[in-house]
Amino acid sequence: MNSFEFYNPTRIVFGAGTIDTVGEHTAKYGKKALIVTTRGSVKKLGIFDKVKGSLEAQGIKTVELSGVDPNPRLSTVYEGAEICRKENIDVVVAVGGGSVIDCAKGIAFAAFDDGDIWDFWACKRVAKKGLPIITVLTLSGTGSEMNTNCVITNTDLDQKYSTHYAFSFPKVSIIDPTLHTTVPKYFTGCGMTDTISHVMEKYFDGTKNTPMQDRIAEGVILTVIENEGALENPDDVALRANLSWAATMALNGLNDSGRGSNDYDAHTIEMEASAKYDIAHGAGLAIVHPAWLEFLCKKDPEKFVQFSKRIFNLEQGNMSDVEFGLAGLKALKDKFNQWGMPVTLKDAGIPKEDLETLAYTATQAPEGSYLVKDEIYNVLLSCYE
Amino acid sequence: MRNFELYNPTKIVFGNGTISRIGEVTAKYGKKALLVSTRGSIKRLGLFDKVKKTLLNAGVDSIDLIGIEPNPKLESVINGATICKENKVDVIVALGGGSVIDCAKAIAFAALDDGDPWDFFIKKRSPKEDNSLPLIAALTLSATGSEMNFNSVITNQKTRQKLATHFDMSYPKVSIIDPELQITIPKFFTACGMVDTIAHVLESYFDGGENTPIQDRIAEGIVLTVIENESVLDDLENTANRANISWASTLALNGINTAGRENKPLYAHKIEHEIGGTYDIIHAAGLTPIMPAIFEILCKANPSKFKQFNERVFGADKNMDPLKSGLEGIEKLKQKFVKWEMPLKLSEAGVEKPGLDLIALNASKSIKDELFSKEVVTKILNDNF
Repeated sequence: MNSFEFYNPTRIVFGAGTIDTVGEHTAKYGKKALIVTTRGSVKKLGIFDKVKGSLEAQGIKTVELSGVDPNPRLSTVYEGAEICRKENIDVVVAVGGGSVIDCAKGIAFAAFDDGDIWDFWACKRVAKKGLPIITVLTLSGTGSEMNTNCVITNTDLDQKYSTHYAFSFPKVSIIDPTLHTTVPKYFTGCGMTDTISHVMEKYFDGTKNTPMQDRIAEGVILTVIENEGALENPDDVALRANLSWAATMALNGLNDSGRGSNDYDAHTIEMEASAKYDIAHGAGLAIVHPAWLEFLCKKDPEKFVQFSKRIFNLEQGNMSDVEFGLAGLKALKDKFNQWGMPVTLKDAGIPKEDLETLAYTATQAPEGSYLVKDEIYNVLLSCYE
Repeated sequence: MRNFELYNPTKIVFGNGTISRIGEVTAKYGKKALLVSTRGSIKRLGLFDKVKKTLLNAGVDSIDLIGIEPNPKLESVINGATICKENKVDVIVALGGGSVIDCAKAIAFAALDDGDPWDFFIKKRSPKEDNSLPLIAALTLSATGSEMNFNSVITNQKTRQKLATHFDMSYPKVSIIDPELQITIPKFFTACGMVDTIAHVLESYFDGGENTPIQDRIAEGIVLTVIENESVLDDLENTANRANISWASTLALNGINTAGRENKPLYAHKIEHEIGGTYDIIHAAGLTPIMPAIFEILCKANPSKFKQFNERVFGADKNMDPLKSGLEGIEKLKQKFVKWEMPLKLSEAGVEKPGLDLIALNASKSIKDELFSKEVVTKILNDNF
């Protein structure tokens, strides 16, 4: 185990019906709120109106920004920041999934800056403060409701980068699993894949002596698998609750504490692809992550052996450690496939001739500087078809 | 899973050698510190002087309050608060285990209050929000989890009560967990810490709640991590084992295991608190004689979670009869206590027969559950005397 710091001050309010408390929680942070949300379902399903009503019942004035896309754009962050300044916004309320929350985090600190804000993602400048953020989660997967990550896409540069400022922890995140019952099967599968992918990034980072962290990671993965029934029974709030809470725990720092300093390599590789081809993040991970892990397993299979045993209860028999590790990864790929996730880059519509460029751009990301282009290229090739 | 709120703003600084950061960490909260500690080993081993010097080098003057005892006394709280008021102390530094940290938490809020601090423990008054001095903790004995929670358990010798407060303002701002500081802990106290950790998670794990898969995996992970690192008892200076047990111990009572559970009274802890209020015994030594008997009663009422425990922690066959498997798991846990040389009889822990009746009466009053009437508690105490 390595030395580490753990800090996570987000207050989680979890459970059926908790959406009604958003006004009361927001009131502690101001009188005027910017509600950030998507175009579609949040409004159609009446979630937006519920949030707005709850805020107004507490005397909070609201302004709306409702055009956040999946893979949220830098242009939307600019737009939101401008509104915050013009309207003297006190608090940002994000109603949505990871894209909306990430966008809200970006807006909350961009509101204090009138320069070229991409500097913060490109690590050219450091932001100093942000408006307080309240979130109402409508789709579990990214874990953004209980971390500092803020992933934004710059479409001009085809870049998708993240910031990690302590002030980006939401003050309060409301996780009401009844809101998740309308999430379509495909996006539920994406969220489940994303959750598993988050814990695996660190679980397989090669750090020795992390038994407590490993049990948490394995617990997250097992919980997702054991609650996969949500794909067939989308209205089952108990299953939704378990998937939600596992997703939040997957990326709130607990699993990372004491592990190595790699920066979510499969995510770095995948983010280049989803930035350029606008594919769902979880779907991209379902393809890229197992391929990346096969590459790691061949180098050092130790943790993969543990994974095959503890997650899939496989028997090693006469298999070598590498073969046994790969058998576990095969079982994982089968799960993703069973959940309706694409299994090849070709399925996801990525042209073969672009792999070389994708591999190169991954090594150019601020968090991918130590990645080796040829290795990434071979990994991408191995999951092409 | 029940609805819940989870909030834990303590920053953890974890790892070998991190004690050297105590000055830098404390200086952010003030220039004058009350340094709370025990009389014994800490002074002897030079740690106390080292911490004082590190504080001074960071520009923090410290006033000593040494002599905090196990089961910290209300007198120490009042004494500490008076020193803070007279010397205009800015920040409290707790150097010790759970008793010292619990005492420091109470001093921190008593220092900003003019009335009797015991009022807060008997719920006669509530303190004002955020009305507490900041607290920095440097942990020297992993057991209570006090370094990352808001519990403060104090004993009033006059009224023979041992009661707890739980205020948001009592979370330590920063807790330094340096496993190297723990290599001098004798075998018995190391085992006590391991028992305390396991007791914390199991009391909630066995609360009869349903559909808590991620919480269960975390709880089982903590128990397994403690058991898998038990070799520390024969290799006290092994910092890798110490680190794993420390981190498991912190996670055992920081809210993640209890989030979404039933939050019933912690039966064994309630009974032990009554014992501890009367006889000044070591907390864990009061738990091991009674906890298995309490679990047996719960198991007979509903064995399903006990069966899961035996399977996941001790690898039992899933086809076993639930009650039989459940009781076997409890027996295996008891055998662990025996292996760790913990007392299984209250008399060995320093309890005397005459007080048992009153302890049983008070404990059943505080538990308020028909499964644990005065008669049942009396029987548990007598059977395990």
